[in-house]
Amino acid sequence: METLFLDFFHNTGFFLCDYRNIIMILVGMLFIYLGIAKDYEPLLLVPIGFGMLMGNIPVFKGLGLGIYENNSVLHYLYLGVTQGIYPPLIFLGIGAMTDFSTLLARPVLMLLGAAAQAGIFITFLGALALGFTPHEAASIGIIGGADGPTAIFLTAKLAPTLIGPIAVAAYSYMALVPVIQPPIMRLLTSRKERLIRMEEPREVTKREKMLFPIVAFLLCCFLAPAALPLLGMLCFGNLLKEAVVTERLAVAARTSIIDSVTILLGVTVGASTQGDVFLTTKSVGIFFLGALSFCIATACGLMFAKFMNLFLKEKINPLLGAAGVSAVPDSARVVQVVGQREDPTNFLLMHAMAPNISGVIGSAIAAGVLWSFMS
Amino acid sequence: MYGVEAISINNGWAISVVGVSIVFTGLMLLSLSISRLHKILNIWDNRNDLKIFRKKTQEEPQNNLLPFTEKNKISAYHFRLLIKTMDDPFSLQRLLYLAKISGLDRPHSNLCRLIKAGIIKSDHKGKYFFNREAFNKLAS
Amino acid sequence: MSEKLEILKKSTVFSSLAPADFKVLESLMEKHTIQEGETLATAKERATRFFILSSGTLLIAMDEGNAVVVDRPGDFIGMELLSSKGKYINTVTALENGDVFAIKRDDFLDLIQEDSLPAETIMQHWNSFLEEKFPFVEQKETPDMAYHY
Repeated sequence: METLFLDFFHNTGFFLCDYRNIIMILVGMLFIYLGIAKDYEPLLLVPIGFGMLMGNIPVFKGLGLGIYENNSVLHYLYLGVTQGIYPPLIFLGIGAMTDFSTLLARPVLMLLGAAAQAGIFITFLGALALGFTPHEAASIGIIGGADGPTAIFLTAKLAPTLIGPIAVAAYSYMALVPVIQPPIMRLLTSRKERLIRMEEPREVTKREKMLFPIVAFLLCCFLAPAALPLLGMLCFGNLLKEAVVTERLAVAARTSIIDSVTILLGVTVGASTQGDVFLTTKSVGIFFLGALSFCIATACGLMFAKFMNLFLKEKINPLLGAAGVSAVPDSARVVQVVGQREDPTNFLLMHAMAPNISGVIGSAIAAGVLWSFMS
Repeated sequence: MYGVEAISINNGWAISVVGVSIVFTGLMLLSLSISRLHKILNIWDNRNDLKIFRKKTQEEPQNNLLPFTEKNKISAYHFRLLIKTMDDPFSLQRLLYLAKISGLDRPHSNLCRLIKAGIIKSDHKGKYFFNREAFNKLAS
Repeated sequence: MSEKLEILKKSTVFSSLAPADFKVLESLMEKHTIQEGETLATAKERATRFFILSSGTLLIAMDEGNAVVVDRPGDFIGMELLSSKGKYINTVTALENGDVFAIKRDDFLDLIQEDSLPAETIMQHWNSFLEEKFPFVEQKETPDMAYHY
């Protein structure tokens, strides 16, 4: 009986526990706290946080319980991440809930979304310089795109072993957009610039909105075919929304489909952060470079907006450049908050949505480009 | 391997420059094409006003017209006065009604002449507008 | 070629019909001379005839002050009768002298009910004619299917 008791004790989490599991469980609890108490991206941080708890319960290897064991349930759910299935489905939902009107009304703001993607490539160089392989460096750089699904998609293709840290870093920084971006925005812009008011955008017709996903898809995918899975689904979702006659499908895409996939993605990504796999020096490097990538992307967007103002007759508020990182709609909201701190009657949100959405398209193209270069 | 050497060996500079250029080109092309989208749609909506399309759908109105006589010119002037009192674009049937109750001579055929001469033109939304240029050219 | 056949071949709505259908239609057509100012059809009144324009110009006055002018030989007026419970929904007035061919409503309905092929062809071309001449009029869509898959 004593032996049985000892055998049982040796299989419990208390016995198998490692200090790394404890650390990750604490991080998981922090995520849940930030999501629930601070309302930072709760739809992402709560599933990821709970996934971290699930992934860091020490289990006896061979029982088929851990996410990295071939026959475990979590492993099967995780296939959606490693095979790149979940991100395009999330893009389908994003497309079905996004209104591209502001982008269509002022297409020049799209360039801000492109400028912010420079952060991806600068971080890529930084990661190479720090000794990461080109595949790993590309996956780390994409964190600067501030787009979780894109980061996961590219990492699953190029450096599957880094999915956990990269996904967690990407989502953490996306959640921390309201903390990370404002100081950079204030540092790189003058008060006078922050006070610039944007002109009212023109009205966009339904037909333009309907044609946009088709034009955008054909143009971008002919240029960068590797962006097909992400941009294809994004544009398809948007067409479902704008076509009106497919409203039922659009509703499914933007509610049940995206919600189900977010749950599966969040929990499995969280569960993939098993302490022994996650807590490595590489992860520390990824977190450091991820933060850097995010800051550079924000700065590139801001600086490019200022650069554009040198040539534009009607100046644009350079704060909009910060929305070029694709964290939709948080970075646009941050632009609104920072702008209103200077002038409470200045409404920048709808203008900021244009670079914000073009950032999504830009980061998907950047991911496609990096993928094709590395293949 | 670390630093600049690692970047150079892994072709990092070229990948970054080309990568950024592709993203920029893509979004710039997209930006350019969508900035023209509403103009293209506008041209399509008004395709009947374009010469190349007009031949296919309707014949040039001026071609079969006899020049405006003095009587026609006076009638055109009266119609112009009536149109001035109406909304822009205006209702053709309302114009015809006003022409009838104002006692204009042969309101139907004179209105028809103005339409055929392109002085009164359809907005393709069911209403009509006055073409000042054609009026000055043909009837003033 | 008879005048009737010539007009039918010029008509957007009828030009694609088979020769046999042309013959049937020709037998149903009656020529009428119209004078400027003459009213061919009055909205909400009982509809008895469709018209195919041979020459002249017609003003089709619709609700909300909208109007369309038709002046091409072969232009067809009155198809809406198929879905308006036997009443004209527009008022048609001649703006200048000309000729129209009239087809009795019941004869025409018999023709398209007897044979579904010309009916389908006519409806298809009628829609193109509507799109071209009446772009602002919303066309009735086919009823929604509950399930498409």
